[in-house]
Amino acid sequence: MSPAPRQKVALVGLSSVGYRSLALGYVRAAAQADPRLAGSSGFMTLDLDVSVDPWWVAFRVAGLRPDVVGFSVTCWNARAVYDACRLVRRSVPGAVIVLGGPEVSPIAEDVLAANPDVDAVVRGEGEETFPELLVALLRDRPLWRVEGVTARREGSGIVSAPDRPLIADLDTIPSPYLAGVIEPAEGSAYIETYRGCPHRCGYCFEGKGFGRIRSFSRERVQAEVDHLATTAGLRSFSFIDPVFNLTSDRLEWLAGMLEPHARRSVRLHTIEVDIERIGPAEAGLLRRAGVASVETGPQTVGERALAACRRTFDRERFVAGVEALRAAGISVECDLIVGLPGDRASDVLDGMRFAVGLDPGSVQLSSLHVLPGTDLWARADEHRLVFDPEPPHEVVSTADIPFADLRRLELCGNALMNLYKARV
Amino acid sequence: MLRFRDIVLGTGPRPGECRLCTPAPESPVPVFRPAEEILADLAAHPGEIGAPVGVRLTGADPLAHPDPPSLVAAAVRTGAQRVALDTPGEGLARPGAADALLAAGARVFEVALLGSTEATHDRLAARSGSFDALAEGLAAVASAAEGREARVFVRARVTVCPHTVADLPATVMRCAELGASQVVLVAREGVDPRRALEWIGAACDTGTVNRLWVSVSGVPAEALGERGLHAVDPFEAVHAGSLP
Ligand code: SF4
Repeated sequence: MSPAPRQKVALVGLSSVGYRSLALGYVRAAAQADPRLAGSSGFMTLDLDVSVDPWWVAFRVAGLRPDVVGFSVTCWNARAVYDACRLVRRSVPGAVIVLGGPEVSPIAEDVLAANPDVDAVVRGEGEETFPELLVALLRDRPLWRVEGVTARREGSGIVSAPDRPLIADLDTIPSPYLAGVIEPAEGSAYIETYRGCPHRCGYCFEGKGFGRIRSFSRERVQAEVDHLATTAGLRSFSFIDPVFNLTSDRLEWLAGMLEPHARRSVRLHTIEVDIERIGPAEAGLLRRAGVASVETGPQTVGERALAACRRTFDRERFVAGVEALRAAGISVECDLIVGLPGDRASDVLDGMRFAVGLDPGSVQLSSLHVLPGTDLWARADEHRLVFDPEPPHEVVSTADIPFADLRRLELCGNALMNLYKARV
Repeated sequence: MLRFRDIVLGTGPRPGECRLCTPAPESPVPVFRPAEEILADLAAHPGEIGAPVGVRLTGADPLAHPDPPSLVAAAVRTGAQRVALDTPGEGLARPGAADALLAAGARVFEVALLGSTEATHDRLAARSGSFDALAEGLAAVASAAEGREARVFVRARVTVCPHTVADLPATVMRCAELGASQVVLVAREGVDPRRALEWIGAACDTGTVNRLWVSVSGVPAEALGERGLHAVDPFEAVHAGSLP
């Protein structure tokens, strides 16, 4: 019998129903593969619904008797995570509580200041930093010295070690699927083929936080897909890439790789596309890949907001993209954001008219969330954007649309969306 | 914003009219145009694929027609993805009616409410039992929609007149309780909007805090002041001849 690990690590994901935290899968796979932790650290993952009572989360965590508890934090689960941390701290007093993820990473010092029960925040990508943090704990070294970590230093408050560079070769990160760390949830498996985004939309973390595009090798992606395809009950792949049709060459490769699975009825869950680069040929490739529906902008049609958010919008190409997809039998979800800087109420209404007028299949309207680390977060004062400082950081008012009118636009938009959905 | 082509079924009492303002017509029974004429009208204006144009059956209460589901089915056959029924809503309470309409393809129900309580609504509609029948009918629509996993939209029309105006906020609240997806306040011709504005404003705000969109028709956006956005109605009714 192998000896009990000296360090028990519990990774806790609080996700929407039916989702699993891929981020925690990556971090765990990387830590498990680290030879410095082999034999001395044991790992457990708790995947719970974000709506679970924080007392129950603490109960489940306490049952694992962990030495380290890690949470992955987004704007959607942050409040639930903070509540859980408060109770975990009191029910497992000796555990080191570590947070990571896009919600806390860009504002790590503020998060630690506001949440005295949290010990450290892993900033940026966690696959190298989290194992380093665990090694530091094993060797009794201070966490605030670990590159990419913000932590408490006795007598000096909160200290941030220098940033850790982005992982240059993504293939060095072990695959959580091939490592057996995660399995498809409810018949669906998430796949990431690259990080970063060619665009720099002001409200989005992806382009700014991850910078240039780094890809997993095609062999690695193929190995994950082949492995997952043998999983019983797999019904769909869910690609989390920011733009599925990043280049024509990649699209052809993905279509070729996924086609055999599509023939076996393994579909592609809604993917994000740059619709202005889709014509009949690209729509045909998506169809071959098993795509049934895609998600896309325009987010807004207002010229001032497009400029403020560094986005482009070519009406004719957008319409042509929707038509090409519709002709290929692929449904389109058009997304609109209410509350972008520069948009007036009339621009928001024009956006709704445009999206619904296309009859794309689905139209989704959501309020702007001013996320930490995004360009809009950094330039909120300049844009006179007022937002809730608490996650999910929903917009309260803009320079052009007062508080009450934003609420009215949301309601009017929701009524329109519900009317749009009411069809045979 | 979402256009609905009006197909006039005939003549009859307008749903939602306040009987204290507008006495009942001499013949309160709807008179329908011949079926062939209605069908010809529908066929003359087919729904365009790719353009979200719906059909609204209006003019006479479609639920008083001898075979309402057949009208709906005929509209669906022309390509309309959304068929709306302009009705007082009481007929929805008849056993099986809501489900048969949904089965035929009806998805939008435009009903009328005249007050926040059974007593007020029935008095202004001059029909006892009208409120209860409407509430029962809407419950039947909701249950049929759930059973068929269909998305329906209930648009509640509330006439603004001297007899309803002070009750508007409570009426909007009642619409929310009855499961409406939208309320449209229709200012009756001759109503002095300035005198009604305070109540209309309160009714709009009641909708907002209950997450129910309230549109105002018959009052210019400027007159609504800071509530000018309430002049926006997602449902755009157009006459049969005004579309290509
Ligand atoms: S919104 Fe989409 S396209 Fe824009 S930066 Fe983010 S991921 Fe890229």
